Amino acid sequence: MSAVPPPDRAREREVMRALAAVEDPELPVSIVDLGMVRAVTVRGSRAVVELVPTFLACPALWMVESEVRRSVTALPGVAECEVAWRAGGWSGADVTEAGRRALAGAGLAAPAAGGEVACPFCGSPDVRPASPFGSAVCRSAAYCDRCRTPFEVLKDKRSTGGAAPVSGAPDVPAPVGPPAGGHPAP
Amino acid sequence: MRPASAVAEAADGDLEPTLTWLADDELLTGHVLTSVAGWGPELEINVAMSSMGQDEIGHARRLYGLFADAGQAERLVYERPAAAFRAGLLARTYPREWELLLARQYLFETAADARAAVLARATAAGVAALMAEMAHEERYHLDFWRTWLATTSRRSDAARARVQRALDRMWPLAAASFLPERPGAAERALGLPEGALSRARREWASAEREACQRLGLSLCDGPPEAGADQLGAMLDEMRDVYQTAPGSW
Repeated sequence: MSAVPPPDRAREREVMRALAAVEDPELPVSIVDLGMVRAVTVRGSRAVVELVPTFLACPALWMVESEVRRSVTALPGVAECEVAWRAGGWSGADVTEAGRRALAGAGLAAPAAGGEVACPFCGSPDVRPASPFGSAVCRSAAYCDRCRTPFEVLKDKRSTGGAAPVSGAPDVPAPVGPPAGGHPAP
Repeated sequence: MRPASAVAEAADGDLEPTLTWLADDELLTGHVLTSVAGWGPELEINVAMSSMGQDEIGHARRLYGLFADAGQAERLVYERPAAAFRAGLLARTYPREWELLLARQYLFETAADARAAVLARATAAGVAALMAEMAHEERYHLDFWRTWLATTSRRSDAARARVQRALDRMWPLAAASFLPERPGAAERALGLPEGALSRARREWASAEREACQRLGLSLCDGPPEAGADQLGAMLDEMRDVYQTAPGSW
């Protein structure tokens, strides 16, 4: 039996840098700043990237998966990349400060750890929910009573702040997307 | 995974028929919601129905994904014979009026929520985590239909009478759909205590009777109405485009 190579920390940092350039196809923010990347492990020439979906039905997940694989295997020394989808509930609190700024630029807010929402335009906490359903499955609609502007909020799924598991076998089956090679013209 | 045509013949205790039952329920409900988005009484309702429909189809995809790869899941949806579908009778109905849709979805979501609480304790690989995550997302659906059931039935006596007529038609279907065909086999396959699903069904029925009573509504037992199973029409509609060039979409 061949020995399992030790984790390659330097290459894991390179993978994280590559992932920072992978944008969510529906949001103007990288998957790292969005808080979707839970762990990266590189052993030998094989990388494992653990992701959490913002919403299970997000139609962009298979695109994210495919872009992650493409970006990571483009790195020198990485021949293979496994994408493992974890359960546990993505939360607005997982979004980085840079991610919040990028989302605000597009009129979107991410809830803070306690569920608080501030207007992405004027920063006021004087906001109220307008509808739990917005223009995409992961968004709800809200209204700012200070600057009188409607905006959208990323829906929070982790109601009690429970941490997502980050190791072991994948918890969530991989998103079922189109076959490799994309959709041929009919 | 076995070929799609063999799904219906799977043995007792097999996990796949149980997951297929759950996935088929979500798929058909997602199809109904995305298809009727547009004729709700308000714009926001239509946005909500479209969003909820996408959620349900996404959940179906995840459930199929517990035992099938992408290509197999696509064939299960687009090529499987209607007789091999395992969805409950409620999910096979295709309401054409707002209050029928309201009654169908209210009962569907409350049942799914009650079932998810049990399934979140399943020991079968991947099931508990997926059901817990689905339940987080579906709480928005449940709140929506609960709110509309209350709003509509409190509006006027005439509105409440229309909702009651819809419940009279949908409740027998919902009551017949809560459990899989063989609950004991499903419980064994999922790693649940014996009788867990039947207990959840009794508690759900009792809780919903009380909830409806508070709104001046009642849930009357009776046989499911003839013609409620509209799976054939639903599949024809769902597969219309796919069948123009199978395998190319």
